[in-house]
Amino acid sequence: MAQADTPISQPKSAEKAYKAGWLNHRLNKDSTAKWILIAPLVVFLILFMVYPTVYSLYMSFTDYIMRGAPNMVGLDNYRWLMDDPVFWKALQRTLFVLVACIVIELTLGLAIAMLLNRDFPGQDLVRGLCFVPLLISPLAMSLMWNYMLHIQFGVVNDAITFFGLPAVGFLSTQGLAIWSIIFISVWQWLPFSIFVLLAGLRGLPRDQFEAAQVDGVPAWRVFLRLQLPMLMPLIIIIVLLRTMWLMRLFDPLYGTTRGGLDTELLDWMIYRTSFVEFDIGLGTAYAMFALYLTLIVCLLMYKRLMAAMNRG
Amino acid sequence: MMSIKRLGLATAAALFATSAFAADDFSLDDVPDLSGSPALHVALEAGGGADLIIPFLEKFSEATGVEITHESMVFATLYSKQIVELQGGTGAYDLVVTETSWTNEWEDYLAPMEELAGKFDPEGVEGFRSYIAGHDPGILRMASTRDGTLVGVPYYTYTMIDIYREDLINDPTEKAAFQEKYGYELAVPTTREQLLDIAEFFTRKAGETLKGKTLDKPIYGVSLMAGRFPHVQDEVTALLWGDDGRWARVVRDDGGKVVAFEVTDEDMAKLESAFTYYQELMKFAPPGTENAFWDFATAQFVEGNTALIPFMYAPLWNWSNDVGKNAEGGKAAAAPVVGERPYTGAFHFAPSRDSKNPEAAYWLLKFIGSHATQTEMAKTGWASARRDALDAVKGSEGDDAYRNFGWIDAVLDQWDAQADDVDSYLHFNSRAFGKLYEQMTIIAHENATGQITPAEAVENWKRSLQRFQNRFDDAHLTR
Repeated sequence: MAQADTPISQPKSAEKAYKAGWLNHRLNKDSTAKWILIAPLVVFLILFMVYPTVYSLYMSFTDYIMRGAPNMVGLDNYRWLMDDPVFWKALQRTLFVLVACIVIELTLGLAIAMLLNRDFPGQDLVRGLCFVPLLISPLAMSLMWNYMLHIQFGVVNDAITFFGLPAVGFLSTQGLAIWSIIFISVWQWLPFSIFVLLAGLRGLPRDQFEAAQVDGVPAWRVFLRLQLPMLMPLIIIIVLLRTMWLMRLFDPLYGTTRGGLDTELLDWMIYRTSFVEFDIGLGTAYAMFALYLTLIVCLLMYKRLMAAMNRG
Repeated sequence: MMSIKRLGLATAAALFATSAFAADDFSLDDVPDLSGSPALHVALEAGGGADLIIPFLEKFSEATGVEITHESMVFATLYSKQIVELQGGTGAYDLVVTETSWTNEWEDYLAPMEELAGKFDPEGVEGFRSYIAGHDPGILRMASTRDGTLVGVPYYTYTMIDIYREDLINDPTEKAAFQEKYGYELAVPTTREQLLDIAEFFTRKAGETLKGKTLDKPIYGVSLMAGRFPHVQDEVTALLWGDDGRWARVVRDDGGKVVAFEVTDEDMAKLESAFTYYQELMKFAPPGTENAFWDFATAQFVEGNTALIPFMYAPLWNWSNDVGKNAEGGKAAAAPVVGERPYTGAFHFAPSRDSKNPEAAYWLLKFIGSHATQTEMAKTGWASARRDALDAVKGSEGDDAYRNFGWIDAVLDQWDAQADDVDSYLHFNSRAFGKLYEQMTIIAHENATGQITPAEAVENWKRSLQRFQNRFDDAHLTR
């Protein structure tokens, strides 16, 4: 039998060898290997990012109210959105909060990062404590601040009145409530800016700063001409990420004003329209608009980032 | 042809009359063998007295062998979370917690009680009717759809009452001062004007006197809940209903079927008046009211910072009694709200149509809503929604009797006063009400905080009603 098998097995093994060779060849090609490696991610992204986004886009052209089948209504939801003053007010507030948070976080973040960049006793403990707000659940944090900032029962006002000052209605005064929401968000996310910038400061090349020192360049000039330009890619990354997160700011409202006292932000409005009023068509139209806007802003930022990195 | 309203009231009256003779004697011994049947998953409102229900779930589980899991959620998410599961047909909850104003909207997803009784109860529909007779007819109407189908058993009422400082109202010094200033006797307010006068009268700065003693902190006339939470809507609704106004009128055909809704100029004038009045009351509420809900409003009263809570849910009575701990001689008392038409209703457990174990769900519901269970709960101060249970405990004596049962007469009086009206409220007839409730909340909050005028609030309401009623209900707004 073995003898009879021999002539047949020869072409089989040749074919096998050919196939193995082809596979090795394909695998050794850079492009194939890359695709194989990123395939799980691509599948994941298609399933959980692309499909829901495309489906949301489709829903935004329907009148779906979670009852019956969705009917196509063309651009009706977008027309409504364009004429809806509540939406534009929410968008305006969101952009205001976005700019205020980013400006405060970057300014304070850079100042604190520069302080932490010096060696001092207990530096590890201080740096560790700075990190704590990031570890707290955003929802728990908003509830916590709701109680702490209360005009009559909150510890913050206890401290204020202890010094003979009048109590402040942080979350119950029109005009001030939005600043309290900004404060809560800054309080939680300031450490992010601090540590990104601290890492950047730690990584700056020393020789240029030493040269400036030898030449007697004033500190403010060193900061403006050397430190700041060198940190620019990191600053743009912070702005980029915070823009994306702040466009979706939701948690500080949940435990505090719930959109009252002129604090309704875009994401709260999307939540309310989609999951309280269940007007899924309109809710997704709001969401898609927010997505387009975020994409445009982020693309512009990304170009700046690339340019800054190339300069660096 | 007898209208649905008259038919409903006649049935309710008959059921109520029956209850005088025979309270239901249901016990766990009546439950058939359910062992081996699938576990039940039950939704609960988190916090406060609502958690008191958990031991009774355990008791049912022990007696029947049916495993019960429960999921507590805060009121603000109760509607959204449950309706997603119901509309999705996921079968996530065997029993859902339903606020009476959601009943019509959820009709398609809830199994009618009599249908379940006919299927699973040896005593049949008649037996079930006898069992339910101890409930208040008005509350039962609220737990029914607009065509009169009962889709749940109420277990916990949140009818509003007026909680006030009896020691202040009855203090001779204050009475004399009030008489001198306003020209009539200081007493529990029964009209809007009296309430406003009392709110103004008791609003005082630190250093002024109260009951003849110098105040070391200010006191305010009223606790209100003006934050952007559902409660501000409940307060405005109490004012509107108390003035015999409606958010919208229900239009029925000759057969009693709800066919449309309409807003009348008279009602909108009353609504504007309610919004205006609320803004007036806000002048005598403590700082922080603009973002307050029931928690802060009651806390203000308990701390001795306010003289009365003109519209507060009955379950908060118990806590309000702690005022004596913080204010010297402080004593809480309960009365019907001004106008005697408070925001009212009850949470009821309702069996979901996609329950995996409808039989066990039916029996659990019957157990929780039974006279024996509700009476046992009511003895602990639980705000039972079952009238014969409240009647059974309200005369009880003991150290905690006042604290636990002092609210009951006010609620029963209001149920009686309001019984004929509930059928005509938009809340219990619109299938869009879950959405309208949110709109009312936003509008009432914006009015309370002065972001919009009362006239703008009315216009906003008309626009919202038009949009949501016509979109989510087949009975449209015609005018």
